[in-house]
Amino acid sequence: MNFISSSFGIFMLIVFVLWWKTSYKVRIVILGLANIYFAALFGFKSLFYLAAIAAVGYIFGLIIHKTNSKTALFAGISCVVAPLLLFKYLPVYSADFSSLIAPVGISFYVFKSISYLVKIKKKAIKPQTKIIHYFNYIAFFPQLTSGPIQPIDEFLPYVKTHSHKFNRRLAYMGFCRICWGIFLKKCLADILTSYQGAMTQPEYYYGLSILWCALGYSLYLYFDFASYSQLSIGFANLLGIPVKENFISPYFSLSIGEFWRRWHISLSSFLREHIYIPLGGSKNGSLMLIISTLATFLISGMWHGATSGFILWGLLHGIYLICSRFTRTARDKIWHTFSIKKNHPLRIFSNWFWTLFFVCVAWFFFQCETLDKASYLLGYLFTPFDFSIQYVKESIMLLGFTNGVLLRLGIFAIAAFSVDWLSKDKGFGEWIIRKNIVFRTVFCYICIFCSLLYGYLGSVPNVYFAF
Amino acid sequence: MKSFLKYTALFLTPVLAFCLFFCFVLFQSKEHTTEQEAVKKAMDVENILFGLAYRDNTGYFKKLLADEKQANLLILGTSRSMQFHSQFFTSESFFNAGGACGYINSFEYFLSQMESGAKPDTVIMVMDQYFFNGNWVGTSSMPEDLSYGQYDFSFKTAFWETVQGWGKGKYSAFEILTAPGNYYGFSAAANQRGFLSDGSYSYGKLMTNPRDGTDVGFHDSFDRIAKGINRFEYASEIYPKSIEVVESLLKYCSENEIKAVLIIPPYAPSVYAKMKENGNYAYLDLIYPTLSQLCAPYGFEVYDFTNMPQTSDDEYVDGYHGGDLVYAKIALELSEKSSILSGMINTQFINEALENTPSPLKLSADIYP
Repeated sequence: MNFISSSFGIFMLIVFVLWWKTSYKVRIVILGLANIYFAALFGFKSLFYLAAIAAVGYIFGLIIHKTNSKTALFAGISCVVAPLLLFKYLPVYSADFSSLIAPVGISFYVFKSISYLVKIKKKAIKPQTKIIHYFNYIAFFPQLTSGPIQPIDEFLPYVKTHSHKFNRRLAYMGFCRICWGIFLKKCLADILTSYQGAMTQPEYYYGLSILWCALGYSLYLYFDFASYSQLSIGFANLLGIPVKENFISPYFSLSIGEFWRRWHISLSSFLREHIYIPLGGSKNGSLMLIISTLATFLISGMWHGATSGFILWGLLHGIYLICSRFTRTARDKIWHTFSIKKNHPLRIFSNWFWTLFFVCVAWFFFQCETLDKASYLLGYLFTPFDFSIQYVKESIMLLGFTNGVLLRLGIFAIAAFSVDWLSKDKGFGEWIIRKNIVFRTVFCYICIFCSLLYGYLGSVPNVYFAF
Repeated sequence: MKSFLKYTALFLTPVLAFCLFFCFVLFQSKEHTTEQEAVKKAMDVENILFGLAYRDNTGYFKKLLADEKQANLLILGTSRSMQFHSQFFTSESFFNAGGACGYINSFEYFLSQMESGAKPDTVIMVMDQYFFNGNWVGTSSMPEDLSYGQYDFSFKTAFWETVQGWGKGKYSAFEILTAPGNYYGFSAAANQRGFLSDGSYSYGKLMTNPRDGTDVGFHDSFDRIAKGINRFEYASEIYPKSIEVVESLLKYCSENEIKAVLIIPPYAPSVYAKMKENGNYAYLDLIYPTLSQLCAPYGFEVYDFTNMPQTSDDEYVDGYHGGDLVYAKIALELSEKSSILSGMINTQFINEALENTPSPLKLSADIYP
């Protein structure tokens, strides 16, 4: 079920009314049933794996709490991770399993399970005694397909409490998020994805067209996932559950490190907490820093897909971070030589430009998925450019863009990045809720009417649905 | 919670009103008209305009109307045959089933599907060049199982298209709401595009505003030629399977006592020149001799209009769709050359119409409702 569909709208409305109109005990059951119904829409297999992994996580939570044993933790994590590994990597390594398709959202509820088990081992939380609470956490429908990976201690207190009162502020924030998410998806992401022809048939396009496609993909990826995150958090907000921002203006980052503090924040935090820090992090010398950084990003790349493109994407980000860290002093000295201080506009622009450049270069390999395809495309990309206006114009028009589409995309992208710029300190939710009601109303109307009039017709699955 | 719901409901009221207005616009366009209803109207009313925008059941509509019309003279072909209007011919029993044959094997299929009493005495079959190009036909363009797909009216699809079409300035809601009563479908109401009662086609507003077309300056056609794609695939020989299909078609016509005239339709002069210049379309020169050879035993006729230097680029809707004037000129030439069509072409009407053309794409307004 697509978040932006009438069927989901009706489903959400029913859940919303029942959630706020019923008593604590009934409410919990209603959420459980809503989660089951939503998961079942993706097929019995999805529901079965979700239930099985929830059951395994629940049982191991109790065992770990009781025994406080590392072996139990290891066994618990192995049990929940095993299906994910099998579904993700068996089809890659053997053609016999090519028809094996991972259940929807398996990565995200496996990550939630790992987070839960580790927290119990660290004695940060107590295990859930009632399985319905744990199931509601693991299977929470707005987060089922692509996260965010919300820690259990930031979720259950709002679900389990008897005095769960309607939070008007949060509900308005959620409503604005939903409008914004629809706009990002329909007016930007889905439109951008329709103009990627040069990535599949580069022989019919100019070299420069491939560059536009790569840039378009970088925008698409962000708008698509940010839109999903806004919708997911928005629906949770309507149920009175606050969720941390998953994207905070990542394309305005001034370093790769900052980029990862702003991009897919819940996954970045998960990887930092469960891979980077346990491997040594930054507090055990340079060698450990390099190893843990590379390992974290290598695993991140491999999680996205067991192909060379994803692995290189992960490694590139690891290398970026290491280089960024080890060249910081030298770079500071160079700027200092020219008497340019940290907050000088030129330095800020340079940092922003190079960060974005390196991020986009890495996205190219992410999009290609394999090095074979990347080198094939690069062969066409590095054909001689003709720097005439006509060539540039044709390289864009060949992709299928019309003047009208380009104009609309330009205006919408500027609008989206303006909002990003204005909300780059605390994220969209805090930014919009501080505005007065007139501003919020006009903002939501613009989002809705632009989507109605100019949004993409049809339904394109969210990009992280595949992961 | 109550105030939140109240505010949300208030917020959504204009959105709902906006949507309801476009539901009304859609309803007024009569896009929901079924093919059966359109056929009934076409038989009852002298000239209707039936132009759906959000579903394409052309083949099915033409088959139903052909059965009802039971015309002596039938035009068959793709969209490149739709500009033959009934006024071009003296026969009152005329029907243009252009648009019903998307593939080379759909000609025989169409004729065989017609009710026995409805079959014509004479058929003009417009044979697009790419029907004989293996590189086009090979791309699933000669399906084994032919059928006239019928898409039902989908309110959801049509509604979104209606809203977005307005947003993108494709039509004026006022025009839809004030469209004549004999216009059926969104395309007819918004752009005066659609099929007339005789089965021929009206390009509507495009005939007077050719700059609104999709192939202005033939950029799209030239692009296809450069890439060798989308009906402009390169080929040096005639596709043998197509010859077999035509052989079978001609045999079918002969067995059913249908006289056949085969026409190879024109490209815009610049487009034809571009194809020649490209040098990858040797198969074009082989179509006429091949078809002539196939028709000879049956006494059927073939005319090649691939290159019509007597027409100009502005008489074409796009690189390979001639407008009214082009087809009027073809009809005039046929009146001189064809023995099968002898006396069947209304040269007086055509000559008068060619002298008083309101635009290079449009003939006399009498043709259109």
